[in-house]
Amino acid sequence: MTSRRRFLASLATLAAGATLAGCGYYPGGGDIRWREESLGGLYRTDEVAVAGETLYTVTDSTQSYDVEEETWTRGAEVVAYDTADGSERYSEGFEERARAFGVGESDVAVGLGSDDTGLGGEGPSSSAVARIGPDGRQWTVTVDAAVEQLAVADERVYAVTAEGALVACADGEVRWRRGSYDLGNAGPDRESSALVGAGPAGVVLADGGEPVHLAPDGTERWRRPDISLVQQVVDVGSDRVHVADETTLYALAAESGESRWTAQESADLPEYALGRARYHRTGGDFYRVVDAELHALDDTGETRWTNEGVERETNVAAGETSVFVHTGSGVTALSADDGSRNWTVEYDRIDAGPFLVDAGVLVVSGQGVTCHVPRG
Amino acid sequence: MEWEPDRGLQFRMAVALVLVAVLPVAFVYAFVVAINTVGLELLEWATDRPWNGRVYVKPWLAVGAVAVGFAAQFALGDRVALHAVDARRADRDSHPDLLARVDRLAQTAGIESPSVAVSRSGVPNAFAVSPRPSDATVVVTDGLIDSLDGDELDAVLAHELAHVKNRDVTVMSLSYFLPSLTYAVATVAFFILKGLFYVVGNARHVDDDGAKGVVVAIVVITVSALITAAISVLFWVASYVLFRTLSQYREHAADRGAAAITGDPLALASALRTVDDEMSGMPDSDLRDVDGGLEALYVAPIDDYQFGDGDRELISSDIFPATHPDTEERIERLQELAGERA
Repeated sequence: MTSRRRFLASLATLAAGATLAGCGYYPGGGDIRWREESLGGLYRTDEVAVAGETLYTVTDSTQSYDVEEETWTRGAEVVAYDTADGSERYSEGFEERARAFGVGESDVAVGLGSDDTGLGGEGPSSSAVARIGPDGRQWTVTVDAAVEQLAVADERVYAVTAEGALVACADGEVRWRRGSYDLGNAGPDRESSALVGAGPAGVVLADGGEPVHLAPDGTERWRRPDISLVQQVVDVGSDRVHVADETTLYALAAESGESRWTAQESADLPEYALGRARYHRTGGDFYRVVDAELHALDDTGETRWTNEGVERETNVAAGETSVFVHTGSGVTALSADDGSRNWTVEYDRIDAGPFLVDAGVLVVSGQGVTCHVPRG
Repeated sequence: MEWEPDRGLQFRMAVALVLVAVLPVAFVYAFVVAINTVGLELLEWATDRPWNGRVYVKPWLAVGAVAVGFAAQFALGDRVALHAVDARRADRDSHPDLLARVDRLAQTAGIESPSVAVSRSGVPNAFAVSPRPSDATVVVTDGLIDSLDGDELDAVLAHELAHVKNRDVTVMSLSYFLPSLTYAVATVAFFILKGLFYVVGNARHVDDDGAKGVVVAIVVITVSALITAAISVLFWVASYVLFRTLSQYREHAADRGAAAITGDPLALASALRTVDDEMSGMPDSDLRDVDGGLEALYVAPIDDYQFGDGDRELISSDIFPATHPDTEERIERLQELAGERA
C-alpha cells in the first residue's frame, strides 16, 4: 500500500469512528422510548397499576376449560410486565374471581372471591387475599368474608370486608381483625376505592365518613368525628395523614390526628363539581383534579398553580421537573414549577396512566403500552 | 529581482482562509438546523410518532470532518486537477527546454523548482496547482507551447511561478473544497429527485394499503431533497463568489510578480494577447474540454464558463465575478508597468 493510500485509509477509519461518537439524536420529551403493541388489549383488563418497576394488570374473570373436570372455570388473572421494556414477567392465574385490588410501593394485593361477581359487583362469600410482587405470588391467606377494599403497606395488606371488618394480613397469616367499620357506600368499584389507606405508621379508613387511624398492631390511635364526610384517604405517611372530604383536604398528625393544615377547594366551583375532586400524592406534592382542572398544592396546602383541560380520570405522576397527566388531547407534561405545558403527545384514548417509572412515562392505550421520554 | 510582498493579496488570502474554514462548518450546521426544524417535523408526520428531540453534531466532529476534507483535498487535489485536463508529468527527455526554462525562472524567483506537467490540449493556457509551495506543479498545454515564442512562454511560466511564490495557489486549492462539496451534494439531491419522479411516473399499480406509504415516501424524499439542494446551492453561491473574487486580485498580483521575475512586462502582455486571440478562434467544445472546473487557475480566462452551455449561460458573469480580470485591462496595467520601469 502506498503512503498516500495508507493516509487516505487512516482518514476514512478516523472519520467513521468519529462519526459514530460525535453525532446522533438526543431524544426529547415525549419521544417514544419503547412501545409494546402486543399489549394493545389491556383496555379489556379491569385494573392496571404500576408499583415500583412493574406494571400489573388484573382481569377479574377469565374463562378457561378444566380438562379433568370437563367443565368451564372462571378465575382472576394477574399479569406483570417489566416497565423497562414492556416484556411480560409472569402471569398468575387464580381459581377465584378478583373482587378488590390494592397497590403498594412495589407490590400489589388482590382480594379474591368465589361468588359470581367481580370487581364491580357485590355478594359476600369466603375470600382470600393474595400478595403479589415483581417475581410472582408471595402468599395467599383466607379471610372469612368477601373483601371489598385493600391497602398495601410494608409487609402488610389491610383488607376491609363486606361485613366491615378490617383484617391485617402478613406473610400468609391473618395478624389481627378489628371491626366492624362502616365504609358507607364504599364498594369495590374504582369511584370509591380509596376509603382505606395504609403506610408505615398504620392504616386509616373512613368509618361512617370519619377518619380513624389504627397502628400496625391494630390499636386504634385516634378518630376525628368532626370530619364526617371523608371521600378519600389520600396518603398515610409516617408523620402525616392526608384525607379529603367533599370540599377540603386535611393534613393530620399521624400520632394524634390533630390538624396541621387544611386546603379548601375554590368557592367558584360549580355545584356539580363539589365532592368530585380526586387527590394524588406524588413527587412529594399534592395534586387535585376537579372540574377538568389540575391544582398543584404544596406541602402546606397552598395552591401553587392550576392548569385546565385534564381528564377527570387521569392519573397524576410527578417527577422532579414535570407533572404528567392525561389531557383531552393525549398525555401532557407540565412544568412542575408553574404548570406550563412542556410537551403533549396525542392519543385518541388513554386507558390507564400516565405512570412515571425509571424508564420514562408509561401510557396504556389502544396502541399498547408506550414508554415516553419524560424530559423536555 | 525586485519582489515586493503584496499586502493586499496577503490580506485577501487571510480573509479567504478564514471563510474557507468557516463556511464548510456552517454548511454542516445549516443541515443540522434544517433537520431539527423541518426534518423532524417531517419525520413525525411520516412515522406518526413524536420526535421532540434534536439531532446534534459535536463541534469537534464538524471541524474534524472539514479538516479531513481539506486533507483529502491536499492529498488528491493536484492529481484531480491534472486528470481533469489530461496532463502528464513532463521529464527532461520529453520537454528539456520547458523544464530548463522553469528551473531558470524558479531560481530567479527564489523558490524550489516545481514539477511540470503538459496537457495534451490545443487550447493555449497554463495554471499551477500546489498543495504546498514546495510541492507545486506548473501545467501548460501543448497549445501554449506551440503558440508562444520564448519570451512569451517565459512570461507565462513566470506568472505561474509568481502564484506559487505568493502561495495563493494553495489557498485556491483549499477554496475548491466547499464548491466541490456543495456541488456534489446538490447533484445527488437532484438525481434523487429525478429518480423518484421516474419511479413514480413508471408505477403501474399501487394498492390502497401501499398508497399512503408511497405518498409519505414521495413527500419526505421530495422535501428532503429540495431542502438539501437549497442549502447546497446557497453555500455554493457563497463559496463561489468568495473563490472568484480572490481569483481576480491574485491574477494582477501574479502579473506583477511575473514582470519582476522576467523583468519584461511586455512579454506577458504579448503572451496574454496571443492566448486571448487563439482562444477566441477556438470552438466552444475545445474550451469546455480544457475547463474541467479549473478555470480560476488559468493564466487567461476561457471564454466559455464552466457552468455555461454555448450562448445559454446558466449563471451570468454579471452576478458571479469572473475568475480573471479583463485581459485588456491586464495588458494596459502591464504596459503601464513597463513604462514605469523604462
